[in-house]
Amino acid sequence: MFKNEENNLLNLKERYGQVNVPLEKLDQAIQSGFERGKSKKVVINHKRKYWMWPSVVAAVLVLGLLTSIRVSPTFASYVKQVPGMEKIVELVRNDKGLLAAVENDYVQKIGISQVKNGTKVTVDSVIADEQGIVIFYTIKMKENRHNLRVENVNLQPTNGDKLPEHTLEFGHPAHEGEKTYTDTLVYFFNNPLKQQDFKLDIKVKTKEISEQFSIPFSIKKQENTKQIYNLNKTVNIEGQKIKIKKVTIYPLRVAVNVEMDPANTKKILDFEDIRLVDQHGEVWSKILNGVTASKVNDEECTLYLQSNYFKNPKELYLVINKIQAVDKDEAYLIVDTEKQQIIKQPKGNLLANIKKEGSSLTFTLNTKKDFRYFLFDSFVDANGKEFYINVGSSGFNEKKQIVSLTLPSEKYTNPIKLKLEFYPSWIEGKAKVRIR
Amino acid sequence: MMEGLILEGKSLVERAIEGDDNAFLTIMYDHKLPLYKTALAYLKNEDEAIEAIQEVTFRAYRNIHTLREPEFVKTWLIRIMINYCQNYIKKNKRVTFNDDYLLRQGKNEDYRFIELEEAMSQLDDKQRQLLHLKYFHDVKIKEIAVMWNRPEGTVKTWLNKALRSLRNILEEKGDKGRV
Repeated sequence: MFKNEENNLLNLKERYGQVNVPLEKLDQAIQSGFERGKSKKVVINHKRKYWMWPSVVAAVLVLGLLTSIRVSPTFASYVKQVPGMEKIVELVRNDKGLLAAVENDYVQKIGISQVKNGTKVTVDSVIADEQGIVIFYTIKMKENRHNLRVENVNLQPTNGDKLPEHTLEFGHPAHEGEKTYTDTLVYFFNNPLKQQDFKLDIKVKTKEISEQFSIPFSIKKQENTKQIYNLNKTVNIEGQKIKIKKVTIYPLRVAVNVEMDPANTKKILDFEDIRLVDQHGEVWSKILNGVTASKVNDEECTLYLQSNYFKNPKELYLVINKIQAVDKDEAYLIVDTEKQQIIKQPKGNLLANIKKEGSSLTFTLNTKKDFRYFLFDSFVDANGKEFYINVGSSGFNEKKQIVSLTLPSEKYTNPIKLKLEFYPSWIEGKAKVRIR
Repeated sequence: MMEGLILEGKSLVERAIEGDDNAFLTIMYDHKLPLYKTALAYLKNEDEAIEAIQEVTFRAYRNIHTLREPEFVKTWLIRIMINYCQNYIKKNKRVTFNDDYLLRQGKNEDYRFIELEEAMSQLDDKQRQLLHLKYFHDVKIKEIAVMWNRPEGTVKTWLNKALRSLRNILEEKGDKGRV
């Protein structure tokens, strides 16, 4: 009946069979899409002393890839002249503060290696302040290796002291089958770092090899590298009161201590839009790829922003525009995994279609836009026993957000209560506090 | 269809669904051409089509565990691509038809194809998707029916409607051309 149309369509198909295909670019696109997918699979490690919000980390990583910061032409040409500098800039280009640290010669060259059976690990350089240390390192392998993993990372002061309480981030995804891998190990400490001499233990594993390395190195003394502003000013966003207690500007990042008013009706889940702005309107936003906040307790936390330490503007403001928040008395979800039933959830019924398959529990979340946060990280079962959710993901597919989590293998009793860590519900305002 | 892909008693797709990254990547590499051509047919721009491949890889990776019919993985991927492209076009509110790309690819006699493509872009999303799946990727009506959870007869009716719409659009154009 429609022979003509059908033939036309088939001819059109033929034509697309003849177009030039940029095969190499396609492979690269697949690789980067895959890496993005991988880095967003949130794996939560509960043994950390600090509280991390890894889903935020993962969420903004993607953004970071799209909005990396532009480098000035003079700096760009300087970068090309210094061996190894390009790699460093590549690794910090999502962070204005770190980039400025590189630009201002704040990088300490190390260049110490250890070789084992043809695999060489080099500590290339570090950027350090009294509160943190970013270690740039490279792994060079004899042949192309697969499934590269870095394990048992341990930084130890040589004098036998213990490191202060800290967070550690690493594990930039490796390209499959390459010989060289460069990454950063990012440590942030709870207390100022006093030591200068360290030994870095690191295990390199691939499908083919497994080697333990131990590399000694020293850094310059880090003192008086911070500016503290005690503010104690309270802002009000849709009736929720938030006290900005203190802003501390370090070379590596800016820490903002905030305290929520216990009388607030909403539980603050995440400061989605918080930024530093100077008199010219230049913005330093949240850390895009790394620890974005640490929790002191339910009402108090520290948020981390990219550092303007090297810029030293005349006027500086803290601006808060958008906060993820949910009513305190409904900041949780109760489900029965066996009956596949949602018993209670925040008003609006955004969650639906609960489904359990093996150890996987999935929901749909009714959001207009991709909600790049993972909703939960633990639950309490009917007997009051707490369980951690180690793997979860949240993805957007055909106009639906699918939230999935892996249930623990230990026995739990239904129904279970999942505390909301993130939720697509916001309060907005225009709070501005002068820092200096 | 799965010949050569069976390993350890499980198909490549089944392993990918269970979280085997290498299996997933293999599937993506196996289907990159039909995916790229789909993107090109919708977006008419090489760079945007490559970007689409990245985004679709990302979405597929995050959602492969939701794939219920492993044997339909190709159609599943192409549907993700079509959804992405349709949203992309809407979001960018641009005229979907841009003949530069095809003109650069070929010669004058291609005007016929340009007309056809323009007509395709005027169909509604479902009709276009249907024609694309059926004629560009030889997806069987039966498979589309399973994917869309509709009886085969319904899909056949839709297909006829889509072809009729296409004919009407083309004829209308032809008429105008003759005036």
